[in-house]
Amino acid sequence: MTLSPLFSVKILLSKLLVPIVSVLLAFGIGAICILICGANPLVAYASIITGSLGSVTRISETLVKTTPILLTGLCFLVASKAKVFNIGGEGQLYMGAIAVVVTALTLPPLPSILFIPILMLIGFLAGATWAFIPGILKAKLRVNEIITSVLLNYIPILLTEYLVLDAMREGILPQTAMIPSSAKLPIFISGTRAHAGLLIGIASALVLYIIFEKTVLGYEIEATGENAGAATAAGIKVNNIFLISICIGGGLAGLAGVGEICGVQWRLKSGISPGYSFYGVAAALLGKNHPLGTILSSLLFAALITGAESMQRGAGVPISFAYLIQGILIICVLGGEILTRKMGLR
Amino acid sequence: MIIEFLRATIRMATPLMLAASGEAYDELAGVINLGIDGMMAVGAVSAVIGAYFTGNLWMGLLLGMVAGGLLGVLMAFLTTTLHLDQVICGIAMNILAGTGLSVVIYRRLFGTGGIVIDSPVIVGFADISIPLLSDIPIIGQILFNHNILVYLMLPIIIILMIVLYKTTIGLNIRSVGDNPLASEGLGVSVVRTRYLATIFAGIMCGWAGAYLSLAEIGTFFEGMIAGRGWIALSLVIFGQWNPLKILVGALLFGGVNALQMRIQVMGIAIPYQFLLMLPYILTIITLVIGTRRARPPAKLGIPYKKEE
Repeated sequence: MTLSPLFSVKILLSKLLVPIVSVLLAFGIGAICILICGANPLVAYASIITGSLGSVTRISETLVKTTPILLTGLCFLVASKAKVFNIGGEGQLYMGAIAVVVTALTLPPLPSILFIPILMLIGFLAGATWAFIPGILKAKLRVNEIITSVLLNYIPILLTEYLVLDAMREGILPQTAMIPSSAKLPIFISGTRAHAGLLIGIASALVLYIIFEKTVLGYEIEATGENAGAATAAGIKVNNIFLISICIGGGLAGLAGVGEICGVQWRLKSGISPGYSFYGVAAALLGKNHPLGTILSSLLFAALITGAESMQRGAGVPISFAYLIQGILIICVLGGEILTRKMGLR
Repeated sequence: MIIEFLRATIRMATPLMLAASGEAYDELAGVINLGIDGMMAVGAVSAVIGAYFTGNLWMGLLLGMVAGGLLGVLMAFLTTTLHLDQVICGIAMNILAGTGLSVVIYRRLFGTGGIVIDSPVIVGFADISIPLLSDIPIIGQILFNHNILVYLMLPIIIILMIVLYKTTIGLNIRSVGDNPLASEGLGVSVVRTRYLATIFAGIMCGWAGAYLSLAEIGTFFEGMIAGRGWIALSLVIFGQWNPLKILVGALLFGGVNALQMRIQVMGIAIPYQFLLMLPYILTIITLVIGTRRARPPAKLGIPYKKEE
């Protein structure tokens, strides 16, 4: 079946329209909230923009934060395509980070070309293993994966705290020793913190895009998400699909942990992720569950939190305001989709 | 020592019980609200605000419940009127309310430049010894020496049980969650019932959050809910949507929490981080057990549209 050009323009429009209108609406509602707080929304928003994009340093900070948001966003995205909701990206990120630090400090320093791929693999496997728990419980016993994946966030965070305060503490500060320099990811804008983790994130998005567009696995994941009963009837092993999709996602969140350790922190500390995975969930939803759309929305959220730090200093609006905007944004996107469906645009 | 342990068990079960039984009503009516963790956070901060600025703990509790109820209205509007995906709305509610709104309000009211230096201290609800009963050895100390909000649990559970299983209201709630089409045919408004159930769940979350800030902790801090909303969600399944069975589960959790605190106090050489993991691990285990027996409401999570 061929689509008329007008119709495909309409489809593209409806795809972009909802996210754009949602962003405008969310920032509009946000402006009202800032007014109620007694601050000037224009000053606040201007400081978000200068704080996130105002200089090479600020831009690179935005890129640094894009990486974990993008990877945890993809983590949510893969599973949600199969209608499995993995809200455990935070814990999976920490598991990746812990595994990478332990490995990097245990192995003799290898050359980067060998070391970094090994660490990436370890981080991926650690995240995937942690995601396997809610996955297998859902697949075998029908246990609600949302609740289990959220609860499993707390354990690696506590484990990290134990490691940096106690078992692996090095020196006065609560942190581990530094990883060998051959385990550090290269910086791509010199003089800043922008590291190659972003490329891992973008590559992961492209791989997922190809998986969903071109492979049987991608098709099976989407078919399972659309109608698990029909997928089963068509011979797809939906339980395996549940498990595979959540584990791939967990692995990507683990890679986010690798990026934070090998690219930013170079050691384990508590609080290495200030809730990146929740931004990731919002980014995936704003990106309409499309891997490439998620790249754009991750950039937006990274700019939002990077800029929110300046906003807190400049306009006195707390950083957590960024979360408020996110929540509103998710609701606007959902509402917008219903609306476009009703208007017959899709 | 065992007396202290059992007292703490009851105290810690209270907020879980409140949030979980509200959620049970909501789910029985067919609406799953995954945002209760965030709603509890807003309830907790609102209660501190109310108590701090009026100097009256009851005003704090009231404000906490009102704030929870308002979020319930929002949730009901999104899920019942707009028919948005309940799972995603719940996730959005957690981000919006839990990590966003509660912290923004707190930092704005009690901080400067977005940072709180002096957190407001609330002298919480005091323990009241019930005359005569509290003189009974051991049992008296365990059961009859608590703050007023703990005592309130008993009548609340009785009322919740009676309403749910002995009145038309309860019957309507359950039928709306199981077969909305049939209940509409019998003249029960699905929309109204679901609205009321969702708002009620919000009020109960606000109350649970207010209990934590006003009776347990005496102030608000970021992350103080620590996943209790999610624990409550699994208690609903563990307790098969029945307030009395939920109480059993809540006491189990209260017990584990009290136990890990006891072990910390006694200085047994287990790192405290591992003790703090216990409640989450236990929740997952009970969720697995609960799911095996669970018979959830037939239309749980499915929007009801009249025209269909």
